[in-house]
Amino acid sequence: MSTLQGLRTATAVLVGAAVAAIATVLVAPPSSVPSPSDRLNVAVVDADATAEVVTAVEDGLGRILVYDYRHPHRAEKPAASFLTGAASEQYQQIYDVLAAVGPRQKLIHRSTVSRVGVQRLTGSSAELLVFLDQETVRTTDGSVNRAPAQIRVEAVRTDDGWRVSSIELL
Amino acid sequence: MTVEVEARADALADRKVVTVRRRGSETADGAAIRRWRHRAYAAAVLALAAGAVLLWQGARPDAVPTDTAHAAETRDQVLIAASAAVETLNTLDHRDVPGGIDAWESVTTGGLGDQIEGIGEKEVVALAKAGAVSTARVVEAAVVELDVSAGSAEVLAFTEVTVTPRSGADAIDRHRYVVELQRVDERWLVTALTPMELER
Repeated sequence: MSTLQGLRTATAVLVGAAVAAIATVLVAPPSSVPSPSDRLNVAVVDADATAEVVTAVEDGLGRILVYDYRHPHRAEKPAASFLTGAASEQYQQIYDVLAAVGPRQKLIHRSTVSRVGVQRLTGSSAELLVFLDQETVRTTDGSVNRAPAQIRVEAVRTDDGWRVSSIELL
Repeated sequence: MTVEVEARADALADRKVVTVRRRGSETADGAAIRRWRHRAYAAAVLALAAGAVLLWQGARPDAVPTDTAHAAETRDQVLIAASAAVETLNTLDHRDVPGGIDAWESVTTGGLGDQIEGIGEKEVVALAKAGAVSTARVVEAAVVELDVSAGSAEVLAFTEVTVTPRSGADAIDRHRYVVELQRVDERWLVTALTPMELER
């Protein structure tokens, strides 16, 4: 093999290798290769990210898990911006129960978040176990009913922050 | 950057050409050889760069810090251990109370462990007389605190306990607990099991 032939072959092989490597990168774009934070469950382990989603879910739930017969539509706006997907309908079902008797019994209801545990957390989604303390006041006779409730919440990260995509009563 | 690399490649190519000529082993067209030498060098640089990009791309998804991965694994172990322990601690068969208490002892340590060790003969007899069978299931649980180096953790657990009395229908009790755990010889044991009361 002459020097010229050898150089031509080497050039061809090296260009081929470069093209193959570039093609590999292009065929598997970064979007299909999840980043570590999208694959690994960093619940609890990433303290800052965990605190962020806990605060967001606590705040959001606190604003929507309320009913006041004097302002029955107060939670509608926060619910629209905080809930997405299946959660909207699941919330409506919870709300309908209160709204059915609310005006007649003059109900004032509030669910406060007692504890939140993050079960799964990635860069884009989260699953949480939420313990609620419910308090319902029947203004007509002044009776107060307190009861615990447990829900499982799924959340997704959007450009506007965390939004709840599923609420399941346990 | 590129200009520099090419210049260096040129310099190298020239030196090689000089060596080849001095040996006088080739009579091929010197200009063509030089041109192809340049191309080969350029191709080598390109291939190296592409290879580096490929390596970087391939390595990136696995670039999870070892500490984080280890902590995540520990968290999962804590959740499994806590759930199993809470089920054990809510399970008792009146036909084998000592066996049930032994099981409780095996999943506890510290304060709760001491409490269970302190269960006397009277209480065992009372539990056996009560004649109930309790079986528990953890519906959902979540780790809320974890200190890997200290070997301590806190878990929330929501449980369903089915109590079958001597006579009559089963009753289902639902409890939510805060579970404190401590690592002892690579095992996560419960030091406290606190039912969560409603905040008044």
